[in-house]
Amino acid sequence: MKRAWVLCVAGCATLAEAGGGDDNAPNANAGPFRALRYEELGGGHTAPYALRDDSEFLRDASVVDRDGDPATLGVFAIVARRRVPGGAASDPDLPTNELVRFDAEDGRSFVGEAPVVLAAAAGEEGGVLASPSAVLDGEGVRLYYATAAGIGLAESADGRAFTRTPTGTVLGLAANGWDAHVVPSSPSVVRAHDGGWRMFYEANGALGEATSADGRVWVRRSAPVLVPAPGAAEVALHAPGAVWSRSALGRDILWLYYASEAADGERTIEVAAREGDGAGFERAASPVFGMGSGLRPTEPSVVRFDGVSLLFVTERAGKGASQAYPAVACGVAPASLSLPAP
Amino acid sequence: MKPRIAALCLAATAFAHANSALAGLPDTYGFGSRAAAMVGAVGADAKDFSAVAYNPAGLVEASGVSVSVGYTMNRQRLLVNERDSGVDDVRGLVAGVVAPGRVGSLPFAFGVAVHLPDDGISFLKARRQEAPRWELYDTRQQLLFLAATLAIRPLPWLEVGGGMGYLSATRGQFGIRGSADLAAPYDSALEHEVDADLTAVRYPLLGLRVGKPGWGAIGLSYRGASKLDLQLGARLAGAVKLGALEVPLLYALEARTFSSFSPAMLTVAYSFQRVERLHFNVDLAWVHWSAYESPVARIQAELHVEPPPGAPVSLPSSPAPTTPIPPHFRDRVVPRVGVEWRLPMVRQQVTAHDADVPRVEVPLRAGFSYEMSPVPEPRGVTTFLDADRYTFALGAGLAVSKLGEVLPGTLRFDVHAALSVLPSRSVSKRSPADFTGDVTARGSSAGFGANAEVAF
Repeated sequence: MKRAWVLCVAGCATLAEAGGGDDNAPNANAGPFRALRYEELGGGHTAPYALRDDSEFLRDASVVDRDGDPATLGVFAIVARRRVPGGAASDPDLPTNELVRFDAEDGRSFVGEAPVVLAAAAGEEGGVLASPSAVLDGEGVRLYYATAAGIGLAESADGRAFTRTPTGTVLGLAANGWDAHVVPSSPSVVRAHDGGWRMFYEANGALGEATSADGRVWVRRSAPVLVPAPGAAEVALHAPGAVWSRSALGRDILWLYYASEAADGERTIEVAAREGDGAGFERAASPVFGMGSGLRPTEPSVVRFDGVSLLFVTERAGKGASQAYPAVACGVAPASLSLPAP
Repeated sequence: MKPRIAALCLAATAFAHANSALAGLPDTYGFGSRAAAMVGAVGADAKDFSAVAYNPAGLVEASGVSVSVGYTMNRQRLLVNERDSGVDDVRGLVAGVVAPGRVGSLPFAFGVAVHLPDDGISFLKARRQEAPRWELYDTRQQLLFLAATLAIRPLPWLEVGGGMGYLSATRGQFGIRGSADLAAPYDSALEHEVDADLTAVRYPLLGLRVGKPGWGAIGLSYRGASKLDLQLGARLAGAVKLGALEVPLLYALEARTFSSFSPAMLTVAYSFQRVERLHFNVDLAWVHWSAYESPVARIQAELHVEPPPGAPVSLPSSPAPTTPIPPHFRDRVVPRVGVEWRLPMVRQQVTAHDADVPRVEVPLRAGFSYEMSPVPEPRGVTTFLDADRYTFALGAGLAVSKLGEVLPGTLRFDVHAALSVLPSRSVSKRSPADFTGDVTARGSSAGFGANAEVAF
């Protein structure tokens, strides 16, 4: 939405050109995001939905810059889905049980078959496999995911065939503290600049953080990093998605996207940020996606390129009764930017 | 002489009632090539049409009616994070008329001056509050400058001048009422009305000049603050029909913004003229930037729709009214130094009285100014981009006097070139969650211009 407006007024009714001064405006490329337009999305998808499947309910995309180079647009996405054996009808409200991989050369237009990279297991995972968070680790990829028991970890040398680590669940029920006796969910993991690892997760309607030196053994922080704003209509925070950026002056900023749920059940995607591993997170002044849409976006995943960022969220596939299932929508920041055709 | 003066006054009056507008061009890029070559350090020394902008008292020094016309071009290259913001160049026609006379024993002079930008006469731009902007160099420079002043010399050593500059403010209403039929658009019955006014806003220009032969002059000038006030309203009242379904709706929008603020300025100037043919000018200008008002549009919008019960329509809530954040600009003092050396080229003795009057002279000029940025570090929500500004200017001219009966006065031709540098200024945002992020601003501008003047 272009909110700047230009008026040219002349005493003799001469109209000037719109004028300059707004080119290359500085932008942290952290939002607000605009939903993709029809001409900006390829792969046979209907914008803004980068992934939509009304039978297996693709959702919870974790999108990763494939080579870690922000100058190139190649990405892969690890996406959760609900697979029902034998082709029986599924229910979009049931937990997902498979993680599949998609690739896109332009950062957003996913094409091709989606190989299963990990399937739910019985036992403590309870047949649940959801909310993946993929992280590049040297030549390989680590994949964190939510199960009925907490946060699990699988590893892969090529990003396609994953194997669960022997430790099983790496972040389970806490014995005490602010999130005691609650199964943590919706992990988002990033590498810290000191070589360690940071995990953000959802519990008790708030967002927590755990730290690790090796990405396998985690220590929770004693207090949540973000809670619903006091006095506001906000009642819960969900599904954190963390991503690093470097400011124009070289400051390392950690952006933490999340879904903010209001008392009436509406959701918007918001963001908070902090410099390095320093002080607490500061919330941004306004939501970054989904304002007034009624589609209840959640599970944000942001991938940053040079001069542009893409946001992937899980939200209702539409407002109609037949579209009451999850799909993965895509937005772009800066919102004033027009993406080239795929 | 008198009929000529009367005609010029009438012309100026006509200009003055044209509801035209003003800009900050004289402050930033100089007005007229002579003044621009001395970076505006002419508050005690301007006697041509540029005195209208710098110190109207100097007009009374004019020896005869003069008409000036010229052109100025200033290329602005302003960078944020090393990328060009695309701020428009400032270019346009510069012109003026000075007409001296005498009422009894009281000398007086009338002057009118205008800068007519190439790209339009008046230009406003309202951006959302968070939008980064080069406020001092953007639309402020893109407006018509028009002022008319009068000067008198009540005492041999005292000259006093004053006049008005003009702005045009806009108020407008736009309304639509009726019903729109979605199924049969041609059956819609809609009426609209537009009501817009351009109202004149005036600001004062005052000056005095105290001279001592052989030593030069001291000048004091004041320019009042001015701004463009834009008020727009829109009202949509009616109903949308779809078959038997009729949905009443009302949408009201009120927007108000201030733009192109030009601060009040008080200038003390001295022109040292002890050395023959040399003018050494020093100006100190106090600029009241702390009175700067936020240019953010104050917008109030309301939408009232009454959908039928059970209709699957979710309406957006009315946006919260915009509350502009005070910009907290700071006053500043701007020092300007200018030098002019008039090099005599050809001397011709026509009469004994004219023994030492050069027939042809070449003035050489230079100037330097330093403008401390009035803009505080933009660490919060707003991002006003600016940096200190250093300006170096050079100029030259050619003045030919007494060309005979056809032109017994003087024909002048002046050129100038100026370079302004805005050194890099880096600001890290207070909140790491700022959507604009850290910024480094720097820039430069290069300007040139030429003026021709005929003095009768």
